[in-house]
Amino acid sequence: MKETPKKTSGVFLAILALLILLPFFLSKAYLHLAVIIGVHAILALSLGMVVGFVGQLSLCHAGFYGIGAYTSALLTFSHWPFWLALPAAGIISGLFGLLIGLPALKTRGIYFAITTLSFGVIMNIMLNNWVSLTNGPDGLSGLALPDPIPLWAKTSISFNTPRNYYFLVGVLLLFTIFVCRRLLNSRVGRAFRGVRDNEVLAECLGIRALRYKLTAFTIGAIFAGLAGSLYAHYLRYICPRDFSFAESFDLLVMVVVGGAQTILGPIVGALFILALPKFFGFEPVYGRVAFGIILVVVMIYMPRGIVGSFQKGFPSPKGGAHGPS
Amino acid sequence: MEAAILLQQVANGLVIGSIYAMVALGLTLIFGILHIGNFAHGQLYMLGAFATYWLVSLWGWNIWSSMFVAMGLTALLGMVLERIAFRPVRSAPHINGLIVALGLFIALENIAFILWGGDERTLPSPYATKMITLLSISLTIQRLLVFAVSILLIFLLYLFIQKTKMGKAIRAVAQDPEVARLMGIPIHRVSSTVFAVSSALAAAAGAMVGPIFCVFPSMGLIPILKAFVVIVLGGMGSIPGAIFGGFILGVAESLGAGYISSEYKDAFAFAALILVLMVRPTGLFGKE
Amino acid sequence: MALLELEEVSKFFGGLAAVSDLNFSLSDRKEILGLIGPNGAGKTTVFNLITGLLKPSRGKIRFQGSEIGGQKPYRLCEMGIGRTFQASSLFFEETILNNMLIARHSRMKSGIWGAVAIPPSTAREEREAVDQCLEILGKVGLVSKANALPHSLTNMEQRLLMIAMGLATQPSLLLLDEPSAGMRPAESSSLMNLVGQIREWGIKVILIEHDMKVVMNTCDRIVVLNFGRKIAEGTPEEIRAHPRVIEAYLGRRAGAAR
Repeated sequence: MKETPKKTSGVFLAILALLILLPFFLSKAYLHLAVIIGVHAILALSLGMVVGFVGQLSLCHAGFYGIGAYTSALLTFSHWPFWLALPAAGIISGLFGLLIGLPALKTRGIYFAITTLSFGVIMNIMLNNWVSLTNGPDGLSGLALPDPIPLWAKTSISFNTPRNYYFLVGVLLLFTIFVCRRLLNSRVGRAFRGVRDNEVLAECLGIRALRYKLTAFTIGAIFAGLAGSLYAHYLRYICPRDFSFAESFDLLVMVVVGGAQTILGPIVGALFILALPKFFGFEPVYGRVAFGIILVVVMIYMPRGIVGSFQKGFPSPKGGAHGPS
Repeated sequence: MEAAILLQQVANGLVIGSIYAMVALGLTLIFGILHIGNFAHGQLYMLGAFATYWLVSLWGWNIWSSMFVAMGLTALLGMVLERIAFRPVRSAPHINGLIVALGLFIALENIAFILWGGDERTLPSPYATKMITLLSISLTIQRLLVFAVSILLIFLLYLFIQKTKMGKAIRAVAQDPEVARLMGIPIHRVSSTVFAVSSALAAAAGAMVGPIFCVFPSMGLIPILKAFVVIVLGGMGSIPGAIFGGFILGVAESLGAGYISSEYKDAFAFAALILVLMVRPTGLFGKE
Repeated sequence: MALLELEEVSKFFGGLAAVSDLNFSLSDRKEILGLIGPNGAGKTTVFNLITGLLKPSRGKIRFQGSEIGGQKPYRLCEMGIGRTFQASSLFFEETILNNMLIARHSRMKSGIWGAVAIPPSTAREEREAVDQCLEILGKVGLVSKANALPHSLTNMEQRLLMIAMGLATQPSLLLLDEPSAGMRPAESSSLMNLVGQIREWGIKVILIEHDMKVVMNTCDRIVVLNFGRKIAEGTPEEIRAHPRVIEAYLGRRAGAAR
């Protein structure tokens, strides 16, 4: 696997160019799908930070997605501009991530899975029952679009078309990928990987496991919150059902099937899980049956996921190892 | 007057608790021998309820034979799932098994949805309407039967585990699979049996709950979540923990719903779980 | 002031005393202390107590004057206690260099901001860390394998890597748990040369070993454990002739025949 850096950059730029040109050729329906896939790619990457980076199975991630969505919706109802509500949604979700992660991450393995599951269920129950805040099961409608970005000469980028929203989502997805890459290849990322692969050894080498698990969990929550805000102001309607355990499950399928320990994996997973039903004209119900079975099959035969099965260990940093000088 | 309400709540709690105990029992048995949190167990509960429903509504069988046959069918399904989905991941990290269980959970729920739609159906039962009042506690005969039948099945399971050869084999495998294998115990057969028995229990629980709370594809989610709460609190793999934990949860929930809040009653179990795990991250009696 | 002091340290598991009333210390002298004893004597337990994986049931452990009993492992690593494990304890999904960089974690500082923004200070820290890790790899002879994965290393190379990772944490005290396990005599000889060099660099070493020749040739001082208790302490010559030690290893009959 000796690709020169130039070759991978080339491929990456080509794909980027393709994705930039794509919306001009897609029908409205496919463009809509692309936006939804983009949002879920961010969401899947954010779950990947927890599942992949520190190796813990979190089953409440849709809850952070929901908190981001509702925070953003309620703030814009209070006349906050979207461009402030977006980061606020991330921050509030991150705060919840910190609050929930602190107790939850003291547990491990299945206990952690069940704890997060419990938190997720509680979050969903609250969304459904705190009617004065969230309007309960009926949800919130009439959400504002992002405010237009003013450009030169009295023109501006408005977001009432899927195409411009596509670019907005794209920019945020690139940002998410950028953050993931930078994190993974840094001292922080090494701590994550150490904790995931051998927590006892990592602790003996001076790595505070709980701190890093909490960091990954919180950052994952922040990006889930950002995705929630994007989702809310695109569909302009949200309800608790969008953020239930079924959604957490879908995200898990995306991450696991794509490959939890990679950056490309969750994105491929999101694409696969969302595009498949549409291409074959499935109802979501049939899709879910398929995902369940796919998950079982992948876990038995390809536990590292599609992309993960090609990765053979984390490479040294680029500047490293030129032999003895 | 106050005492009467309290007794009523406790009685209701014991009824619901017996359901939790049955589901948790199956779950803890599976965990004890496979160390896998079998999420899909909740769907066996649902399928058992549906099987009973169809036998009663379509073929007019009486509810007891329907439940019995449903238990058998569900046991078979449990054994099939063990063979094709759980056995291959038995030696993999336990998280893989959990993910497999999640996959099955979602697949089965949606298959039920495709086949039978999402409507809530009432399982007709001759016992659902008549009531008995004793010591100022009023219960429908159905509820009373739920409690009685659950106790009976739990007792039968206890005898099975303690007194039969297979029961001893199950306990041996739960304690130390390697040693059990070396002693010649057929691990595969033990595994299959545990799945069969657990699934049958879940099916019975679903069948009995049907006339009270309706039958529908997503009926398995909350009970399985609560069963997990029960076994984490009572000790994963512990049979007495599952039984007593189930009853305690049922009563606590009933009292909470009556005296604190009814909408948030489902949240109590989960809040209790979180509190306990914060203090003891491997459960009250856990040892992992 | 002693570098490390164990004072009446005991560790009980249920009714079983894995370690009983153990006393010994290391001073600031350059020294390799051997910790030996038959299987099950409690040697690894002592290491686990010193490095925070276990908490003493009784007694005190002091490092550089402060009590460390029951502190977390990462804290003890930060304070300067490094160790290796008996079984191969490595990050098998990472290159050798990455293993070293992970071990270097506690001597670096950059956090999230450094990771995402990569300011000059972080870039410099990373470069320096790579250089330092390569230097240590050079000292143990693994530099040429820096980009390889652990499963491609021989047993000896894996054990050298573990020691290198211990060194990367910049310890003042290094605990080596049977580093020469599975090695041929030539290999363990070369390993012990390395351990001697570590002593010369100023790092104090406690060495658990089963190979008596290695222990006698390498250690300056030896502590002998049996059933969790110290039965002897002294120079290799003293220990070689010590009746209780001979008895512990060979049994009473051999001791009497001697």
